[in-house]
Amino acid sequence: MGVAPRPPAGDEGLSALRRLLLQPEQRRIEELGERLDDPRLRARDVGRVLPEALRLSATESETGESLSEALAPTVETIIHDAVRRDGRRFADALYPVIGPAIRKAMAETLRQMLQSLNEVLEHSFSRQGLMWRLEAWRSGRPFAEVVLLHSLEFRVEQVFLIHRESGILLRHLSAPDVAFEDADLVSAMLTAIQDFMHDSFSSAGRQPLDGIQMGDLTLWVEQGPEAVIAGAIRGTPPEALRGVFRRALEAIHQTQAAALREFHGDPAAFETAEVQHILEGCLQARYRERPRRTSPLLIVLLLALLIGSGYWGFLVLREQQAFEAYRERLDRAPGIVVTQAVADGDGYRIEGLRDPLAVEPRSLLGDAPLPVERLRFRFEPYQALVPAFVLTRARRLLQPPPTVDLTLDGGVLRLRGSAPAAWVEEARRLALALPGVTALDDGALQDPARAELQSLRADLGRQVIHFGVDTPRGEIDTPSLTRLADDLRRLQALAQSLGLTPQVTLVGHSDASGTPARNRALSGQRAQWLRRQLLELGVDPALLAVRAAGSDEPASDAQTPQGRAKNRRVTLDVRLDGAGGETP
Amino acid sequence: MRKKVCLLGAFAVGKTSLVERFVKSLFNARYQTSLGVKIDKKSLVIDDQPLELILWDLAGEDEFVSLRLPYLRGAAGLLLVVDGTRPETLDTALMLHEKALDEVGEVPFVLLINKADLAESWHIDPRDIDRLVARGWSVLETSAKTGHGVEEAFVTLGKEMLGAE
Repeated sequence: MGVAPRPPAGDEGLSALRRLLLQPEQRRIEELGERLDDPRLRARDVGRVLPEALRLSATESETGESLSEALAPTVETIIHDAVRRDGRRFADALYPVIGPAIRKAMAETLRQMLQSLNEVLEHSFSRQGLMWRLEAWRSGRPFAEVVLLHSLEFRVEQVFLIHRESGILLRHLSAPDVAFEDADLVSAMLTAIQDFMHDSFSSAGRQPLDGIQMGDLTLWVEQGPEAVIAGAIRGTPPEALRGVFRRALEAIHQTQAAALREFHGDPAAFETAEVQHILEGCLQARYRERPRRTSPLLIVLLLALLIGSGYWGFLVLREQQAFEAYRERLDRAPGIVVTQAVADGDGYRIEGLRDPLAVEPRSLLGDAPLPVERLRFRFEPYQALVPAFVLTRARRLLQPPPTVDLTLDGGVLRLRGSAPAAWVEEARRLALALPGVTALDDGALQDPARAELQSLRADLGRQVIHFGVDTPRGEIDTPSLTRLADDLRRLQALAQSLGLTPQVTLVGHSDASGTPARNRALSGQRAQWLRRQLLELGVDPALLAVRAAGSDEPASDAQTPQGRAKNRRVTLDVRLDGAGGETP
Repeated sequence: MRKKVCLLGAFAVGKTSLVERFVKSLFNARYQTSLGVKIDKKSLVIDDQPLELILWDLAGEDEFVSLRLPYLRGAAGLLLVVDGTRPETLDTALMLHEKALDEVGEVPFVLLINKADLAESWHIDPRDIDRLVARGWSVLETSAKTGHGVEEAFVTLGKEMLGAE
């Protein structure tokens, strides 16, 4: 006590003491502060416990639902963004489930269709169905409603979500095909009745009204602090339905708390899908299970369907086979190449190449069971090198005279017969331009002018004009003479057209009865006489020469009068002089 | 928007017949005598905004029937109806207004002096009405017989309710 305390030293001492005593805690506090201040450290800490926290929260029943409700908007946004950013990945992820889902939905739809068909048939034709029809007719209600009522255990027809204080309707849902009155008014009236009951019978306990029963219609009311759910139920609802209503009301209070608190008459806040979803959970129905019998009519109908589809299948198959056969026929036809033949829509499409000379595709149909009006052809024109077509094209192009015979022999076009030189020249020029023709062989082809000239020359060489005894006038009638003149003129024209110079010598002969001098003179006069006759008929004088042979070249022996008569004659000697000399 | 509106007035002031031509009704008027309220709906369009008034036509107050206060709950507006030929109905209306104030607080309202077709036999002191107008009250003359002023009353109240938000 004798030592006065020294404040500075005491302060220091105290600090030291504090440091000594509290250092570990202080460091711990600093550490904690650091962890709280540093967002990175905090994030790491939260990250460590987050999965476990979520798991716990999800498994506990009270928080489970509110957790999913809290997460739902975020998850929805994430999914929405992900789909928008890269829809493919989502599609890939969904791929394995979409197929089974669609199959299941289709199977379900089909099953329902069959079932409703079964019911319709059953109701339409069974005794009970007829009774119900009678009842519907008597009561003026639709048949469907009568059926429903008879097989109905219960059905929530309408659900009202009502603002508790004002009785204003927030949302109203009804089951399909339910006729209802103005829901606004019903909602207000329901509230008024509630108030009335509450006001009038409050002494009977504070229990609020929770149901009204009228005939087979029950009105259930579920009260909440801000809102009321009322359901109009036909039939006898199970008690468990109460729980459904109550949970729906709780969900409404939970999710729409703010909207309910701040409600001032605008029901738009409750027009959300979420509210709809919650209330739709209340629109339940249950129908009496009746022993399911398959209507014989359904069996008949299905059988008919089966037979019908079988027959249809047979027709389809037959048509397909016919089409395949037709396609082969087409492909085999010369000048047609089928590149594509497919069923297209309700018909068939056939594409390919077709030579204009080929057969018309439709003509190959025969009596095949194919729909002619539903066959569509698209053939590009082309030239096929089928020998028959090459020959046809050659005929069209060369236009040969009827005397010429054309054949094709491995690309060689052979010409036989006779044809004018000008045509032959043209044919030589054109034929090689034809596709499919590699050479032209006209060795066996003759010029008709030359042939005629030869035959004319031979004819004229055989001509003999006879004369009487000792006369220079021939025994020849006018038609024969005219024919002779014509032949000569023709001879000259033909020879000139072939570039030849014709010379016809009229050779006069006599018999040997006179003197040689007399005979020579007479034979010369006979040749001259004929020449004059021919010149008068217009034969070119330059063509005709005369020679007096006298009796030196007898045609027969002169012992008999007939032999001598044969020797009194004029013959024709025809020469054709060409550029290359005399032609025989 | 949907608003609950209470129709208040003394017995036989003609509330029900005043509105019946202008509203959509579903329920029989007999409910009013048993339940003490009849509910109708009036649809309006104010400044392009649809407004549906759910009218709670409360049974008239007299010495035998008293107002069922719970019916006032949640009302967003009031229509007070007075019979112009019976001055005492104005007092009843004022009294009913007081009760409503206690139950729902300050809400927009319109005072209707009914039986305008019998204006010459009115017995209400015009000065009383002037005093109410001076206090900022909306006062309209109506006639159930001719329908005069009824639509206007709905519109006036509707505007005040939309303005009060």
